[in-house]
Amino acid sequence: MLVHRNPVHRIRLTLAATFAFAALLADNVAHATTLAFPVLAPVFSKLETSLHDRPVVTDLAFLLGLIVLVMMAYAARHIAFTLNRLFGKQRHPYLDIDTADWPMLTVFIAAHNEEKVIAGCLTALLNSDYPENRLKIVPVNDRSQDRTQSIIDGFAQRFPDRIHPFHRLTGKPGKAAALKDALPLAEGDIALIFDADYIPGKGLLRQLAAPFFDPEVGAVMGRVVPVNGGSNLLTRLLDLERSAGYQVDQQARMNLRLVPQYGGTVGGIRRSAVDAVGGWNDDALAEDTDITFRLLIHGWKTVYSNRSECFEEVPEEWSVRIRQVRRWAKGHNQVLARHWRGLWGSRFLSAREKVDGFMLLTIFAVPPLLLLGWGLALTLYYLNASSLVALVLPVFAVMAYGTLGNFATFYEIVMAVLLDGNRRRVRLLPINLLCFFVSLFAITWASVELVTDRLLQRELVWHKTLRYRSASPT
Amino acid sequence: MSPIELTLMVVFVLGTMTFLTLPFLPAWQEWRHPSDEAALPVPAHDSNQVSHFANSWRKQRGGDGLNTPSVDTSNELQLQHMFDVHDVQAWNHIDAPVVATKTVVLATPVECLRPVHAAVDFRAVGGSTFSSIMSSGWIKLGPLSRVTEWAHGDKGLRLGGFSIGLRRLSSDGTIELAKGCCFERMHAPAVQFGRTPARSERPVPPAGSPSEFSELPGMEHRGGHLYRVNGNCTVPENRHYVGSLIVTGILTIGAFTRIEGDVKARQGIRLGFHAEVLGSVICEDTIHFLAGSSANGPVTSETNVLLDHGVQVGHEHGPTSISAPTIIAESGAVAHGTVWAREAGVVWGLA
Repeated sequence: MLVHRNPVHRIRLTLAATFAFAALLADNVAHATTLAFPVLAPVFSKLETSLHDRPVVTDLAFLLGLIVLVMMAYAARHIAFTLNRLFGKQRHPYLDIDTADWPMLTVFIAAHNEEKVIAGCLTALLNSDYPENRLKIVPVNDRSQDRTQSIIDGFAQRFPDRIHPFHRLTGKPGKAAALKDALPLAEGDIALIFDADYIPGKGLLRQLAAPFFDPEVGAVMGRVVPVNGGSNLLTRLLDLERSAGYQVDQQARMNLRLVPQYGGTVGGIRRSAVDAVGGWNDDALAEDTDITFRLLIHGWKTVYSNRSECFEEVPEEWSVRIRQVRRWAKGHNQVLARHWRGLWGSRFLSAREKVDGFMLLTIFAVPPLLLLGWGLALTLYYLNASSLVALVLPVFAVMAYGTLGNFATFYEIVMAVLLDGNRRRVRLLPINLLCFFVSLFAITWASVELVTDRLLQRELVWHKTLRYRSASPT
Repeated sequence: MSPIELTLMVVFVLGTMTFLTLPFLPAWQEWRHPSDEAALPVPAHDSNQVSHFANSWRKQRGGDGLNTPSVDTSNELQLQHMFDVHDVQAWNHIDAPVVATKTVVLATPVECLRPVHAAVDFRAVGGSTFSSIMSSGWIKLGPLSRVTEWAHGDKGLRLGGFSIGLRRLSSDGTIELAKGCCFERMHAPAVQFGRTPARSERPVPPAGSPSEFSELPGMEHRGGHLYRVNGNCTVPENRHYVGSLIVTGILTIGAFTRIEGDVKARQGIRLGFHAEVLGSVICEDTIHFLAGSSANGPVTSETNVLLDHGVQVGHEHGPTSISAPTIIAESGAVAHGTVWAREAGVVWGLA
């Protein structure tokens, strides 16, 4: 233990481990050793002197080095995913199932004050080519105060055999709680869930139902495409982000048999699987992430279907976007706190599933970490800019991250946009830095709030995302 | 700082600023004057059906496909008026869709790169090539024929030996592929590979003794009727199981065993002689149906599906799907529903 507490040894250990790893990679241990130690001997000597003089600076430098390593790990992940999408084998195993004895489906539409959009969603579902006698549509009207209830009831009167409304007048607010209350209305083992602003295409239900023929599949996720991408700069930037997230990130995880994520809409769950892992959680802000990880930990797979596309609305105002990101961050970090131990301990998962799952789980913890890193770098600069301690480790790490890391997410966006065939919109990429900074601070803020909420025992509040479409006729 | 150093510093700063600013110029341009802001196209009516082209044709032309109230037919050749069906050169130089109001019988090989619609049957001798054929009756093409885009026969579609059916073949009746045929995507109530045994030829399997998956070694109950095995799993012969099975290794199902449920294995599935799965058969590796075995649910592999003689997938009243990058069907196998070989499908058998 003394070895680990001594900063000199810690630095040495880190450097030695780095070179040992390099040697292993090169498959030439002797060469790496002889290369490393003569070069590093004077550095070690100076470091030792410096470390004894300034232990605080050493600790900060060490922490910064670790943060940069984390960032580089995420950067490597982004690059690996992008390369996989470009050159790897693409998996769409269930997409070709277009004829079958289709299972009974219940489609839930989460609706809270959705008068502008609910009719469009219901009409689209009624036009689906899924067998009528195997489809039950349940609009879940969660305490709406606008015309949502009357619009739904109008549809139910016209299609009494197909639409079965669930009006929720009281109870815990939030989508997760409303769906939990509505789930007992489901018929059959498969429940698909859409938000009210989604417009499913004719064949989408079949595509989302097909993976459930695999008895190992617990959840399915389709691709979300912004319908209002051209509204303003924000929506155009979010359109780029969505492309990267689905076209590259989710599909690469599917290809590599890692951890595709169920996103809570344009997707579905196997009810028996969810029951087997403890049922639907209504105290989670990100119930989709919560379901993904509980299923994963207990050996169920989540499937991503990149060609099962569905339109959604993205926020058109920065304030709405910030609120949305804060909700995601809080919910995700809540799931992190609940499930990280279970993830590492799961006997159903391969090592790479655990690593990817953990990186996915901690994704909203990265922005605060990044801000901390920036703060540390500045602090180190002002504490001792010329010290080897403050320079050697951070500078090399920051250089490596600057070369690889900063470009990784943008690289992912570029490739996603190109794969989608929309080449000109990629010109907006530099402005995406704006989104990056906004998310960085919003997520950090949310993480701090999560901690204070916990300390002060405040209940987490679910905020609905604003809709922009003009009201549709009933 | 010397003047040279100062100059170098200024050049460096200006150069860096320029490189930093350059990407923002097209970004600014695209922001202020958008040239690509439409939402990604998500086709609302994309139904993924194999007979999509045939249905579109029929819908566009109405009824039997010959009445054309809504489309301009001025560029179409009414076959019986325009040229002799036996004139090979005429077929080869057609530059408009062909509409035949009677049965077409071609006695010499032709190459037609325009869509052909026959009101009744369409028959062509071997060695012909067509881009697309739509028939309200039967389509019968001789050996070594080629269809490069799609063919749909309302009553049936028959390809002679070693023919190639690229992209989509569909029928409301039967698709019959002789030995040596290659295919990609097919849909019909019955798809027969080579010579299919008559119903009376199929042996009736003995009823297997009722058994429980939980009796098998390494079996883990996952709730309900779902079971899982870590590693390989061999299901004994001549048994009857109720439940679904997930296997992380290779799954071997014994002869004459019947499973009322779905099966999934990651490294391979082998159904023994006359084994029967009433649900789906899903695998990340090869699925091999030995002679006489059958499945009622979808069969999906991420590598190969091998169908031996007498295999049946789906049934007349319950069509299903077979999909894999490669599908090799032995003469005598039959599928009901959709057969989709993403990379290659072949019918093989002893001469």
